[in-house]
Order: sequence, then structure tokens, then C-alpha cells
Amino acid sequence: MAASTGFGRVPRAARGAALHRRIGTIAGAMAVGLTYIFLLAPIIVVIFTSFNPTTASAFPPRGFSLRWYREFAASGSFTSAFQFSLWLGALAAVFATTIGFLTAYAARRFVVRRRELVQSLAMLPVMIPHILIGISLLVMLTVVELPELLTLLLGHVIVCVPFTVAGILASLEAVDPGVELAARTLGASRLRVMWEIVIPLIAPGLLSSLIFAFIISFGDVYIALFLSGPGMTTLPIEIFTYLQWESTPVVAAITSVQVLMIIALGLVIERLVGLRKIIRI
Amino acid sequence: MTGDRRFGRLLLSPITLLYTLLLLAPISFFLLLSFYEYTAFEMYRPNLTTANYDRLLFDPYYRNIVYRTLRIAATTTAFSLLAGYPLAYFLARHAGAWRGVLLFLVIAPLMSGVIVRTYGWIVLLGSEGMVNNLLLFLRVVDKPVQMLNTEFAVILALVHILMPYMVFPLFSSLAGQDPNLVRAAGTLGAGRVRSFLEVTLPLSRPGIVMGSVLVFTLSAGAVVTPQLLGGKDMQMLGQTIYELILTVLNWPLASAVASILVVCQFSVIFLYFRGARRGATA
Amino acid sequence: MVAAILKLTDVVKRYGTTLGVGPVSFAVEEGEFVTLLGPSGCGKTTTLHLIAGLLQSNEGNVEIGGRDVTGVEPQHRDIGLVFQNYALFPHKTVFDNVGFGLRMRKVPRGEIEARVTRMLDVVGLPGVERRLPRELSGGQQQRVAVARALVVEPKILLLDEPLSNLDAVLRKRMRLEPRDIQKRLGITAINVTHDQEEAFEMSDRVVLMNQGRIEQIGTPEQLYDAPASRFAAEFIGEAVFIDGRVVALNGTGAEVEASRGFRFKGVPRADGVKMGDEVYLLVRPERVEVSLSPHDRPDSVRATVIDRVFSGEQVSFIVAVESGLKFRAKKPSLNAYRDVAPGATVWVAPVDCRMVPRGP
Ligand SMILES: Nc1ncnc2c1ncn2[C@@H]1O[C@H](COP(=O)(O)OP(=O)(O)OP(=O)(O)O)[C@@H](O)[C@H]1O
Ligand SMILES: [Mg+2]
Repeated sequence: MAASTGFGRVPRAARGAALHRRIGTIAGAMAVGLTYIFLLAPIIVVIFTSFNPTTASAFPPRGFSLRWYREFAASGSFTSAFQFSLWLGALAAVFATTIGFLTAYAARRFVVRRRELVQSLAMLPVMIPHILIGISLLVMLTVVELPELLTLLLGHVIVCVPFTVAGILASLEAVDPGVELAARTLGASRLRVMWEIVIPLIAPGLLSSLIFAFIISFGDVYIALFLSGPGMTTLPIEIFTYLQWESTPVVAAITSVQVLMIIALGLVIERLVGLRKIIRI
Repeated sequence: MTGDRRFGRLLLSPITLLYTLLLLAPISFFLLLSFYEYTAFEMYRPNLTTANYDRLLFDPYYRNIVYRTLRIAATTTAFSLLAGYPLAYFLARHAGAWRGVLLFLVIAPLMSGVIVRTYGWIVLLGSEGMVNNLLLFLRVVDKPVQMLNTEFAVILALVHILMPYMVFPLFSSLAGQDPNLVRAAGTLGAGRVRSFLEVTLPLSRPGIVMGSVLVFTLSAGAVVTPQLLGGKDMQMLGQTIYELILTVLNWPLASAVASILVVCQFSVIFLYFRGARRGATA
Repeated sequence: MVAAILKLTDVVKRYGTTLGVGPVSFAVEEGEFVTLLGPSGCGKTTTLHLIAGLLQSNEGNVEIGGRDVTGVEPQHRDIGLVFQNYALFPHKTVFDNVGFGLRMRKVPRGEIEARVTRMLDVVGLPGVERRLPRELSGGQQQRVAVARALVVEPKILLLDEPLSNLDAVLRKRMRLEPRDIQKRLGITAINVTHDQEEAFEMSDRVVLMNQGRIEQIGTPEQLYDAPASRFAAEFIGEAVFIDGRVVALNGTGAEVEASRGFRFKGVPRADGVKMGDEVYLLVRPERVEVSLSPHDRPDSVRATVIDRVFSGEQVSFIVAVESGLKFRAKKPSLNAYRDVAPGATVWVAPVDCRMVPRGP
């Protein structure tokens, strides 16, 4: 240890090791720093571009204007897509969190032998390319008469469920099963225990699951790509279609609004349970 | 309690219904279409045939797309791992008080969706984008480099978009490790590198496997990013399926392409998990 | 004979392929305080949970108050359970914790209030109704847990190591409290512990368990003085075993020849022991007379002190008799014993020895 300098001269080998270690640490820190720049640059660039006064999506910006925000607000197709996505995300979040809770609770307390299997199966939609899920639902609609809006919603629920299951499982880990058993011996039924003991105890976890599912649904492209239709186009699909033909900073303005919203929601989650719990895949 | 089992089944019924009716059944049906005959008027006719596969396997156009997809997915996975590992390691071991914020910064891109990030790369890599401006300013080049519509752009953006999926499992497996293990290795005379290679790395294998499988799967199925950053000449399987479904309207062929995608993915997943198991018992 | 309020008959519980408990049979009488005692992992909690209905047995049946409750859900069993870690509802106040069971039984609001207040008085914890469990000390939490289990007036109170979460001093002080409350309310209690002293002080009867089975059931005196097996003798108190053979028998006593040249007269006869049987002689350290003179007791033998351990109240000696046999003698730390140092010659005489049948 370098702390041993007080006892006379440091042996040369030890000094060499300390130097090595320092170099290693610096190299590691630089690698991490660069990775962060890489991760954040595209988003920061988008935010800067949104204040660009000119059409060219150039960077760095030459001046400051809210022109693209005004244009976003004025464009009916983008604002209605934004609203549609908000509604869709909210509904999908409620369903996904409900199903996620029931699944996670069952896996945690009532499945003994095949717990691993149940948990892995719940993660299935993460392992299947989402494009396949979207297409399959589209193809299904040609065979089964199902409202398209409902199919889109359920598609979103499917892609959100793995995240809600994982997050709620993590929250449930903190609940002492003894507390539930105690309620049982005091006369509560399983349903009662779930409602009066478990749900209040993991309320923050449920709320953050709700938010996270909303975020996932809001950002989805692959389901909506195939299931969007007139009057039910999500924001990402509206942007995707637009970007195939032109790319003006109005997209930057929209995505900046979206990013802002998401950061705010993310901070709420962090406050509630800590993001660490949510991201366990 | 037997009542427990019944109650558990009751709780699991929504997800079971959802997954079987709206995930497994539709996917199975869609993949079944690959053995059906294509007709222009009815989309498909339930006559069993291998014509769709014949077309895919012997047409160099499609073969190229398969190769390109595998190449891009593998490269993306490799780079995500290379960049993600140090990041996850840092977050798990050294981030200290900043861990919350730093983790949030990794998650923020994930949460902002595919479109936002792909758009960010369009802005960055465009001929008037920041990267080109920087290169021009430093006089590395004297006219803007074509970066959009290249495989490079696609891989770069995919690594960026999918990085969180690599970092989280890695982080979980690294943060779950008892830090005393490395200290123990240290007291037994192993240097930093040595204890990393012999203790930390093998123990993080589940995270590596999980992260790699996720990134590979998600990049092989990508549509939006290659469409916007790679252009028509840089087609990947996902785009092909997308076009066959929505514009060409040849669903049986789309299904055959999707089947190939699925087969590729599951063989990769299988190999990975087998490797992981062998590693665990070695 | 009083009616058995609880009866377990050949109950077996398996976790997958590993045995939890079983087969286990015992009965508890109304108003008794019975303790399940045994080493960690012997199946105490499993047995308790089987009684509570939190686990379902694979075989056998459980009767409570003469009714077969095998398969009955815990909420319909009319028992109160105090958990090892108390398992208080962390998000509910003390009042809501204690009142929970009454609410589940649809007791009117006013009555709940009265009964909760009364019960908190009984456990000596008035005035904490509005606090959350985390705002209470460990000892207070334990009392709340007991109150919560008792307020519904269960047929049987089950206590799973109620003292194990308390520090050593508090643990000793609270030892008699559950029993005190139980006797005052006149209900039946089944307690679990792995601490023998605790079990003895609290209980009317003790069920000694080992590896999922019952070794012995009896009053503390019976377990201490007539252990049914070597395990029972070793788990309860300190014990030295000497191999021996029965060489003479009369009405109640026996003469046992120890392999090491000792002869013990007047050893109480264990059940079913016959002439010539191989048995263990059980010597308890506090029942070994030690003296500095050979004349104090005619049956004492010469021994050398090998080591001496002083623990305040007591001083114990490791002594070796001439045949080479070593054992421990425990004496009150009176002056007479304080000067006996290692190397000294003493005369020892094991008294009140017991015989323990040898297992097959
Ligand atoms: N859920 C379970 N799954 C598998 N085995 C279990 C389970 N619960 C208990 N066991 C096993 O059953 C046996 C009895 O366990 P039990 O909890 O009843 O012991 P105990 O006497 O209460 O121990 P302790 O004093 O440590 O609390 C043990 O061998 C234990 O390993
Ligand atoms: Mg126990």
C-alpha cells in the first residue's frame, strides 16, 4: 500500500505497482467518460437543434429560436399523435402493471417448484424481436375479428409486462413473507392479504412500474408500426413516417419535449424506489 | 397449501391468456404462413409448399441480407460488450455517491425511445452535423464525409440504442458479487488484473450472456434505425420483413424471412447459454 | 384427564424430497404451556406452521379442540401465532396491527377499540396505539406481536422463538412474561425455542425434537433426569457418558459396572433395562462431589485435576481418575474449591447418576 511511505523508502516494485494502478484507473475513467459522451451526445444534440432558427439540422446551432416548438404546436398531426400516445401509454401502463403485479406476486409467493420457469417465461417478449410481435398481431387481425385499437393496446401491454414483472418482483423481495402469513393467521383471506398488506407495502414500486411501462409504451415503434391506422397513430410512428421523407428540426422540438417528460418521470421513479430496481432484466 | 397453488394459478391466468392468445398463437400462425402458397389476391392460400424458403435460400439478394444482418448484429453485440463492460464495472464498483445519477444517465436514453435516439444520430452524422463540422474544423478532412446511409452509422446507432440492455444485466451480475471475493484473491497474492480475470469476469458470465443475447436479438430485428440511417441499400432482415408485409404484401415470404431471423436468433441464444453452462461447470 | 385441545397424529411434512418433520404425534391439554425444543433445523417452525395451517401436511392429521382441521385454511383455525421476527405490519399503527384480526372477524368498531386497549394493557404497553412498529424497541414489538395474536382470543397461542430477537439481557428478563400472560388468560400455548434453559423455565412440558422427529416428551424434570436417549441427555444440560453394564438389579435400583473399573450402586432403573444390558451412565457435572480428603465419602475415588475454569458463579474442574476416564465437575465458587489448582489430587464421587438405554 502507498500508505506505508511513513516507514521509510518505498520499494521500487511497489512504486511501479502504484503507478500502474494509477494509469489503470485513469484509463478506466476515460473509457467510462467517453462512453457517457457517446450515450448522451445524440440526445443533447437533439435538444440543441430544437432551438435552431434554420431548417438545416446543423450543429452547433446558429442562434436561438422557438420556431420549431411553435411549428410543433401548430401541426395537427404531431399534436394529435402526441395525445394519442399519452392515452395509449397510460392505458397500457395500467394494464401492464396490473398483470405484472399479479404475475410477480404469484411467482414470488405461490409458485414453488417452477418459479424460475415462470419468471423466465414472463420475460419472453424481451427475447422475441418486437417486430415479430407487431407483425403477428397484424396477421392475426386478418383471421380474428378484434378491434384494432384494442390489439394495439394489448400489443403495448405485452411489451411492457416483462419490465413491470421484473420491477415488481424486486419490490416484493423487500416484503417479509412472515407479515403475509401473520395476516392469514389473524383471519385474512389471500385476496385480503394481497389488498391490505402487499399492495400498500409495495405502492411505490407499483407507481414506478406504472411510470416505466408508460415510458416503454410511449417510445415503442415496432408494435405501432404495424397496428397504427388513421386516427390511431402514435408519436414515434408519426415521426418515423415524417423522417423517411424530410428531416426538419420540428422533430427535434418534439423529441425534446418527449425527453423532458421522460426525464421528469424518470426522476419520479428514482425518488420512489430507485431506478436500480426497475432495470433488473 | 393446495389453496395456494389454486390461487397462484388464478393470479397467473391473465398473463397466461395474454401471452398464449396474443403472443404465442399469433407468432406461431405467422410463422406457419411461411409454408403457405403466396397469391396476389388472397395474400396466402393454405397449400403447403417450401417455395418461399427455396426463394430465400437461393436468391443471392436475400442471402446477402441475411449475412448483413448477422454481421451487423454480431458487431453491435461485440462493441456493446466492449463499451458496456467497463461502464457496468465502474457503476458497480466505483460510482459511489454518484451511482444513482450515473445509472439514470444510462437509462435515460433507453427511456427516450428508438426514434429520438435515431434522430439524434441523423443530426450528428449528417453532412452538416457535429461530427463532420468537428472533422472539418480539425482539418482531418476537407469535405464532409458521407456517414449517413452506411453500415457504420447503423452499427454506431444500434450500439448506442442497445447499450442499456447490455449494461443492466452486467451491472446486476457485477453489483451482486461480494466485493470481499476480490479482496480475498488479493490477499492470496493475485494482482488486480489476475483477480479480475479469475474472479470477477467468470462470475459476471450470466450478465454477459444475458446482455449479449438481448443486444443480438434486438439488433437483428431492428427496422427503424437501419431504415433511417442505412438507407435502402443497407437493408437488414427487419426492413425486408417490414416491406414484404406493408408494401409488397407477400406475407408468406415475409413469414419465411421472419422464420430465418428466429432460427438465427435462437441458435445464437442456444449457443450462448450452452457456453454459459459449460463455463459455469468448468 | 383434561381434554386435548390440540392433537397431532403421524404428521409428516416433506419439502420436495427433503423431510421437514415427521412422523410427529403429540397432544396438548387445555391450559398447558408446551415448548418444542430442539437444535436449529429440527423442524420446530415447520411443526408450528403445520398447526397454524400455513403449511399443509403430506400425511397425518391435526385436531384443534376436537375438530379435525387438516386442510382447513389458517384464517379458519382460530389460532394466534407470534412470529420469530414478529412480522408486524410495517405500514400499520400499533392499534391497526392489534386490531387487524378483530376487523377480519367483523367485530364492531367500538368493541375493537376497547379490546385493543385492554390487550395492550395486559401486555404492559399502554399508550402506544398511534405509533408505527419501527418506532418501538425490540421488546415492545414483541409485546405488540403477542397482543395481536391474543386479542382475537384464539384457542391456542403459538410462539415461534418469541425471545430470539431480543438482546441477551432482555431475553432473560422477558423469559417469564409469555407464560405469565398465558396463565393469567388461561389459554393454551405452544412455544418454540432452541434454548434449553428457556424451555425449562417457561414450560409445563417440553417436546424435544431432533431431525424432524420427537425424541422425548415430558416435564423438564423428566427430560433432565430420565433422558430417553443419548441425544436427549446431551442436548439438555451438560453430560458425561460412561459405558457400563448392568450387573445387579433390585426393585427400583441397579448396580452398573463401568468399563473403567467404576461401580455405581443405586442407579435408578430405566424402563425396560434387564440384567446384563449395556447402558450409558449419565454423569451431570454439577452432581459430582469433589473433596480434598478421601474420608468425606466412602465411595469416592482418587483423581487428578487437569484444568480449572472459573466462571464467576461456578468453578469447574476437569478431573481424570486413575483408570484414565476424564470428566467435568462443576461446583459453586466457594472458598473450599477456589484453591484447588491443576495438578492437585482430589477425591471425586459422581452422585445421582442415571442410566440411559443404548440405542439399537
Ligand atoms: N421452504 C423450505 N423448503 C425446503 N426445505 C425447508 C423449507 N423450510 C424448512 N425446510 C427444511 O426443513 C427442516 C426443518 O426446518 P424448520 O424451519 O422447521 O426448522 P427449525 O427447527 O424451525 O429451525 P430454526 O431453529 O433454525 O428456526 C430443515 O431441514 C429445513 O432445511
Ligand atoms: Mg424456526
